[in-house]
Amino acid sequence: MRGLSTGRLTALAAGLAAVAGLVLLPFLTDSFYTFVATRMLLLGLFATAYNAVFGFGGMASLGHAAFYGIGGYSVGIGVTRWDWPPLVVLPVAIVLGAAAAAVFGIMCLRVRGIYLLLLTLALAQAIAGLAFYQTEWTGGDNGIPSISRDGLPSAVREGDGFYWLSLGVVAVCVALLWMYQRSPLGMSVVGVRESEARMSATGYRTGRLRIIAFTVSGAFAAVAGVMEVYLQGSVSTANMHWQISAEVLVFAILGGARHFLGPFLGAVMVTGLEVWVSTYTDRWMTVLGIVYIATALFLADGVLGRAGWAVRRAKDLRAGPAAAPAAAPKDRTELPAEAPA
Amino acid sequence: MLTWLTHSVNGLAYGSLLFLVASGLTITFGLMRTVNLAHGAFYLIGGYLAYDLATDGTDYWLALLAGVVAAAIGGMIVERAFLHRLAGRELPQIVLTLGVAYIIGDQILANYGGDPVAPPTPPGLEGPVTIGDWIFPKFRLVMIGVAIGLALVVGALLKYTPTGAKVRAAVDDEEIARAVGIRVPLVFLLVFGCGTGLAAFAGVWGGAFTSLAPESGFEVLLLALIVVVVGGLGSIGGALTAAFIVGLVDQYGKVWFPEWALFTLYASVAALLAVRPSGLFGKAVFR
Amino acid sequence: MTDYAIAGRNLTMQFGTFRANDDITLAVPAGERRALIGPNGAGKSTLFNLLAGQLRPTSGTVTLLGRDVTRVPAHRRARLGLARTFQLTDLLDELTVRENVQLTLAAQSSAHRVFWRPLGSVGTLAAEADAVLAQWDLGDFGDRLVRELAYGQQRILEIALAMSRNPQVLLLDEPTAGLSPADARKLTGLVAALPRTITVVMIEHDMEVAFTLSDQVSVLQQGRVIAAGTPDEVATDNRVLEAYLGEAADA
Repeated sequence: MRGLSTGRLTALAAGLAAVAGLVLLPFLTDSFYTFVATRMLLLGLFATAYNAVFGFGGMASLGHAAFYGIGGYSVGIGVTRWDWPPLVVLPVAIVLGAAAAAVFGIMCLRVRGIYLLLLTLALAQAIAGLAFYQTEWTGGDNGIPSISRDGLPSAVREGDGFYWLSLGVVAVCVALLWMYQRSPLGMSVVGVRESEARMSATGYRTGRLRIIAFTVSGAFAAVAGVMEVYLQGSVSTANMHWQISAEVLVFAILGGARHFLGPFLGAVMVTGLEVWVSTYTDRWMTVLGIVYIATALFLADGVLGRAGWAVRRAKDLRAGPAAAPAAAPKDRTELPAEAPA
Repeated sequence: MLTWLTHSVNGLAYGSLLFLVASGLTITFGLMRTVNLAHGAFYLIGGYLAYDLATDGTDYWLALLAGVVAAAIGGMIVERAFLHRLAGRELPQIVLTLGVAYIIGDQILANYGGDPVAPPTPPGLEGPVTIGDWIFPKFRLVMIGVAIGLALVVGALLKYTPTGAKVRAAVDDEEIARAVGIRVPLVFLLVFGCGTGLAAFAGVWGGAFTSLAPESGFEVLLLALIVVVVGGLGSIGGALTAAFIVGLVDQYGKVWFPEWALFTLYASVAALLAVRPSGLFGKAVFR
Repeated sequence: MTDYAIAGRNLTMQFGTFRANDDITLAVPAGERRALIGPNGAGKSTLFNLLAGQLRPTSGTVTLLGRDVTRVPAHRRARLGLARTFQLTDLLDELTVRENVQLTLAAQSSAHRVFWRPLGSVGTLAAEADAVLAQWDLGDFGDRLVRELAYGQQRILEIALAMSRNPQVLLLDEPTAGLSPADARKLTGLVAALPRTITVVMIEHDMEVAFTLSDQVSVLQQGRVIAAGTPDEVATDNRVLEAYLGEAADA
């Protein structure tokens, strides 16, 4: 058991290669793609944080743009008004994001399913309403432009450096989320998703666990929002738009909400597709609409869910023809149909 | 005093517009339990098509009819092609209809640009009415009447005709509905078409009221969703009441404390939902 | 008074116009095996939910180990020493068998508050969980998802989970429902072998199982207790026969 099996060696090698690729990426591409990669990382973090509530908590929130936006406005207001350094902005954003999320969690104690979705949407819209109309603080619809990155150490202020900073922040946050998700606390949140009655009969305070899931999720979503605004240099009501909440939901479903890295993958895929499609057409929203429709129809388990299913089936097939499910031959008959006669 | 009256009637008129949008949602969402986030997009289809035809010289009522029919057909296509596969699965329904909304909105943006357009005010309803010292747009007053009339008609249809019973039977227990000879897929298809047709009607009239832009589909959608949920799923009377309340709160909010306008509206809705998820007039919905 | 492990007094539960439980009093002394029987819709599961805290009674009181717990929520009753199973197995289906046990054990100590270390590495959770699995013959299934288990194994797991918390009072909701005869016999054996320090209240449809396992039987019909006594007394009680024959005639 202790020794390294081939499987583990492969996994280790793949992991090392991935880490090396991520670290060396700025040397491999130009500044535009480094910028894209930075966005992917930050949206990936946002989606991973979201999934603490959605995939693992079993609560379909449509209000996470609020926490993301709160992180963003913390940067905008903190930096332009009081010249806060990042080491002040970040904790403030985390506390505000977590606090807002805790309020969401408390308000949602009595609702499930579609009602939870609509309630989180209404709550997020209330906060977005503040961002829109409290113009003295937020700049209203125009938002806060030209937010300086001067507070950041010069080594990580621009381009490649900022990418590495983001990589570091995202890596730390994702690792923390991973630890939390596997811990007794994180697992008991999954337990509540599976059966609230069982968990409370076992002695768990299920309401508190739901609030905790929201709080953790909101805190890390705020971090993603902070980094995004440092990257973009501006923040506006667009950072709180409810379509961002919908987008992060789709990231999670598309990638595979039952898998820890599924939402991250979903974020990377959609962001990458956007960049690629946008080189050909202005009609990105139409393509995004098609992606949503395809996700809803064909990818309810997400890409990773599908992949896991395929791997299991391949294993079954290798285990022997007797164990193979009856569906296998049917697939094979479909293949030649496409081949020329 | 008169300003106060004007604000109130404006609020009621805006609430009526919301009810027009919400009436279609009450049917598709409240009755069929199908979440259609593309409802606002069908609102746009109706509004833009009517605007297009009417500015080309088509008779107003014909243009209105064309918009409504186009949206009804569009809705039925979406239902038939996609949504019926996702019966009872709210999350995929949301993602799918959001995708449909993105496509429609984006295509409207491509064809008409992002600047607001306004379908004409219905002929005969232009200009103001004057009651003593009080002057108010005739169209907006009529809108209130139409909303109340529509509420009565839809409510009566659902209550007193077999259609309403069939829809409810088909939603409550598809198996049994099928067993007693209700053609469930057809009922769902027609009901969904009615829902999106109503959205288009609201788009033509609402567009004349507030004007249309590609993103206004989502704005009315959110408010209409609130109206449906606050009123209680499937309750027409509840939706009308909720629409008036939301319209008034929105109007007063914008006048008296503009910085807090959206916040108070959505926060009060959220507070209501948190303590009473079934809405003002809904039955218990804990599942 | 304090000799009763669990007791409901004058419990009434009203759902709208329907009275599911009507002035039920049920007091179970420590160590007793008590079976609740009665036709469908008699209010047995409602009574369980009142005793375990999933429901709050419209009126009446519940005491657990001599303490009034009428207003105490389910999770705190669980911590006071009450464990229950559910009529339809209600496990954490997408988690493994081992994780189910570990989470159940974690609720017993401060382990459930840990948020930085994996569940299986906290304290002695892993070893304790494996011991529970071995004790209930589930050792081979530790890494399987619960939903992949056969139904009989799921029911055994439910009891294993309940027992792993060393409860003083155990409520079993139809432990043998839906089991094959062989599995039902196995489960009956397991329940019969539970230590006498534990008070067991069970809902059981199978008369033979109910009468074998119990010291006392309470018969419910239409939300009321219509008879109580030893299995022999109840088996010959006219009202009970009527209730059951009546049900048979209706069906």
